[in-house]
Amino acid sequence: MTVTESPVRSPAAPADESSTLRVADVSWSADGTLIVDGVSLAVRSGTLTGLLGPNGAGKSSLLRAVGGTNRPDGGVVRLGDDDLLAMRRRDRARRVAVVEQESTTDVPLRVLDVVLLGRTPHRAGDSDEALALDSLDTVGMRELADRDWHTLSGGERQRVHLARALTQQPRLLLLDEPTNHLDIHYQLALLGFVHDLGVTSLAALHDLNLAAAYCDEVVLLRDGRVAAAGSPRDVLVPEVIRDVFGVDCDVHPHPRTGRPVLTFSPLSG
Amino acid sequence: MTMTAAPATTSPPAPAPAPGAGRRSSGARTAAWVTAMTAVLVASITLAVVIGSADIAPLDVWRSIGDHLELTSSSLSQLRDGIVWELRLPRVLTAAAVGAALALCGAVMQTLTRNPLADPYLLGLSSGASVGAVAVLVLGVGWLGLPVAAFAGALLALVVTFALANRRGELAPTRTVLAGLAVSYLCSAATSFVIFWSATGDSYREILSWLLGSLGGASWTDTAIVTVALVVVGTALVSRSRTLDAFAFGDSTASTLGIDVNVTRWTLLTLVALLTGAAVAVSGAIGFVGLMLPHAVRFVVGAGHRRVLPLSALAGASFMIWADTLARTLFDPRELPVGVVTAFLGAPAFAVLLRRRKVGR
Repeated sequence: MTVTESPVRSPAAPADESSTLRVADVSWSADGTLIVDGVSLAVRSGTLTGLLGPNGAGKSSLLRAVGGTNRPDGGVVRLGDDDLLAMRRRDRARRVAVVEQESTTDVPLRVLDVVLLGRTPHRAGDSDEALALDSLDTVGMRELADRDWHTLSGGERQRVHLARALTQQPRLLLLDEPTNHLDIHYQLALLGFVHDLGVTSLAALHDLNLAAAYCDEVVLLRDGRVAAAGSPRDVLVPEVIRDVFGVDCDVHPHPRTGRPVLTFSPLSG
Repeated sequence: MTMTAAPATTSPPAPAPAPGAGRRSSGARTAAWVTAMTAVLVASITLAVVIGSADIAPLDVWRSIGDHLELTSSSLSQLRDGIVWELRLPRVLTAAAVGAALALCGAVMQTLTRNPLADPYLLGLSSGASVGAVAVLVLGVGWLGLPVAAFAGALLALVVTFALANRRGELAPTRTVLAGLAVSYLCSAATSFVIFWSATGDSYREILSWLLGSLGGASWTDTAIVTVALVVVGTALVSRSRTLDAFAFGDSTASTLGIDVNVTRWTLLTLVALLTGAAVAVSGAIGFVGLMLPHAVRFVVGAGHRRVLPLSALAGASFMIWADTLARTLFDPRELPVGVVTAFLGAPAFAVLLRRRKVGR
């Protein structure tokens, strides 16, 4: 399992803190079970951080706690100077957009209607439709604006959700397994696109190689806690992978980009 | 910036066509539909007033309206004017307002519960409203007490239905309809019981008109009650179109879009109960209008609420006018309860919806 491409990041932007995400000591429990246990992490303004970890490590729960859908038991979530947990839901939705796993509907909404949902937290305006069409353009779906949601493939739906999130004009983008069920072309396209967007992004990802190829930093979760965090090169090393996922792995530099490429094998004794 | 894969990947998706190519503004299309449906409604009102045993010409309808609004002064005979203005027009306009109200309620309920089978009748609201209305009629309060009691009955029935259907915060469509059925039977029994216990004369007719609906004897007061509720509640619901759209993808997505899901759901459902109460207070429990028409409208124009809500109301108004016209002319001079007509058309539609994928959970 390898990923063959990686975008070249443009030279580091000036140290702009206005949209830096800082999560401090956030916990969340469901029915008395602690799912997210005192997580702290930071995502620099305009960069993409991958949230990795085995099934049940608490990736989705942490994303929902950061996005305010799960009310955290404790901790602080700040975006720049804004306290995301203290603000009203609607104010938060003007700053934070969420792309969920396989969110779908039974009703025959048009693609453009779905993208326009991104304007929900904002004051309705004449430019809403133009904005929505621009977002569709950005994800290469403008010609499908009038199509019925049900006629779209999984990859197209995910791109429409991304266009909806962009129409929300967020300063923070939260993505939960955005590449699930996408073919390899759109897996690369979607993450490359989010990376180049320049919007502070936190994405829960399953595929460690995708994360290594596109994320500026990665955070490894285990049992609701941060097991390791840092650049993919520093975090995705055999000892850590063995420790967290229980598999052996070899790490090679990517022949074109030099980023880490992981190949896995079962634990040998 | 278009979303294509990293450089070495072969063919990226086809580029988008020039901006605006091949798109008509959705606003213009909606306006065209609203205009067309309004024309149908005006024609329906005119024709429905004309149809009947007395010999009335279509123009007489507008002469009478013009005279009473003191816009014209025609020489319409007092008899004809009386038939148009005192008998038929309030009935036809009440039918239109009731149809619009029920269709609007159905559309909003289907969205808020994510249940294609939701409708004020099937979920027990209409029967609950009937009990409230009948109870205050027995107690003998003024005309304002009637819609208020019907509203209280509808709201109570809604709460009980949801409490019965709720399992771990989920309202499965089929279970919700079964719960609605249970509530509906109980309320219908209570309605029949109260009428039978209190009435001296023709209680069966009265029971029928509450359980199956009737617009016979509708007065201008009835027209006013439903129309005021329709305008006030309808405006509030239409202004929340975008919020309603956001419910399509479920509570969690709606929440990330900044909506307080529970507060919004109960606020809007309370408004629905209010509107249902007003409709039932003047016409009894008429079924299937709220179920069918929103689906028909969505089938034609898609599910966006800025289109669905106004068009459902307009379609519901015309539909109810014709259902009531059939009800009063089919066995003239005897009247069929209008709910019998709507059920003949609506029950098959319900069966079709039930057969559709994703409902039978």
